[in-house]
Amino acid sequence: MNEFVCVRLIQGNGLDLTLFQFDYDLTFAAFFLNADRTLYGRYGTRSSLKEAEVDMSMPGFREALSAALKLHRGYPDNREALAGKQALEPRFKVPEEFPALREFKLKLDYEKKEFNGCIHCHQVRDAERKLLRDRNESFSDRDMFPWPMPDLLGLVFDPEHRATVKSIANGSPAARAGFRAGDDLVSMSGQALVSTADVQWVLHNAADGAKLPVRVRRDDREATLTLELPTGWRRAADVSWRPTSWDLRRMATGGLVLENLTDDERRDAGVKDDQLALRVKYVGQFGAHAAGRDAGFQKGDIVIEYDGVSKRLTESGLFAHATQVRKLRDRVPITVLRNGEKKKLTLPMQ
Amino acid sequence: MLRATVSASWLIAVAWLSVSTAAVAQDRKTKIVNDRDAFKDSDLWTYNNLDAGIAQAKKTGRPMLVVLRCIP
Repeated sequence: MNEFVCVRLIQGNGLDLTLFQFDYDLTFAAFFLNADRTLYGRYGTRSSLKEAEVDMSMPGFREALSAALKLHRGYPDNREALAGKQALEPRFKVPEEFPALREFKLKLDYEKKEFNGCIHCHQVRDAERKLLRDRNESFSDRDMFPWPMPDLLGLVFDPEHRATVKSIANGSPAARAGFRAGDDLVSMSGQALVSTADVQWVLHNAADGAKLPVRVRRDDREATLTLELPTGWRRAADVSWRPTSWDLRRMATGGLVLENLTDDERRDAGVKDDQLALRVKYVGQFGAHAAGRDAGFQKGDIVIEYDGVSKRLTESGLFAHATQVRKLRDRVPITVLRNGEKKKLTLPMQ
Repeated sequence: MLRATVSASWLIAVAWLSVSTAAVAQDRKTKIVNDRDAFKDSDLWTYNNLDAGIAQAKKTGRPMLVVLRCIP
């Protein structure tokens, strides 16, 4: 740590989005940079609301620090391996330029006790999505399923290390590519990797069907594998844990929180394995989050058809349908089971 | 030297462990004040001032570690 100039930022106000692009649902993220603003790497990964240690660890962070130091020592000769890691041209340069965030101040002065009015990082993604929704633009898979975890491709990383494979799922794209447990990822798409977050950055920006060259170190030798991304691979991601799912619920369910039924509960409800069945766990009570309540939904209702879709979906899949197929102010027919009886309701898209 | 190392380690631990959602319930103001008090006078950390960090990195030739910590 003493070899770095360490900066701690605790607010999104005035955050330079031309530099800091990361998974905005995180409450902790780290960047390794040169003073000329060249990015060496990112650190910070989260896959659920479980303890952060599931995805991150002090040893893993230390390895990322070491890898970033190595890149610093090799700079600028290694500029080519860093090119793809740099931030993309953002829609707005600071969060306050988003229409949804214009009321916020560029900087808060804590010395003057300005403790409120902080822009939380997740509000950047909320603002991006709200802009699309208000313009009646469909969400892309990238908008809907940001910063995908590599395990969607069967690639599970060891949080105790920088970017080391812990396990591979049988039959997955990672297995087909030839990855093995213990492989140490050196680069992906030509980008030097210091962490799982760096892998996520590559995946976040990759197109469906892309074939990504991955340089791995195995038994003191290096080899190049090719990871192919199947069409729609991001859609298996669970976004329901993310803070930004709150605003997706406003749009897609009128503030209802939906949960999966267990196999036993499905059987008891008479729902087939491949059929949609999401139970209303919570009904929003305020503002736009009360639209579900106002439409007549009740806690315990089981959604078995949403806008004509009756195939099995997760809550995240339902969000995707609502934001990729349906538009603002559409009215969506929904069938629920309530006390064993079918009931038809209509929900406004927001 | 030992004191500096311990202090740096403690600040890293604070930076790291405060990620946990199991933090004791506090109001936002208290959390911010505590966070600021833990880091503001640190020799290791530049608090909430990216430009100052960049200037120091240019002067020293060291790389930067920028931690974004959203205080819920």
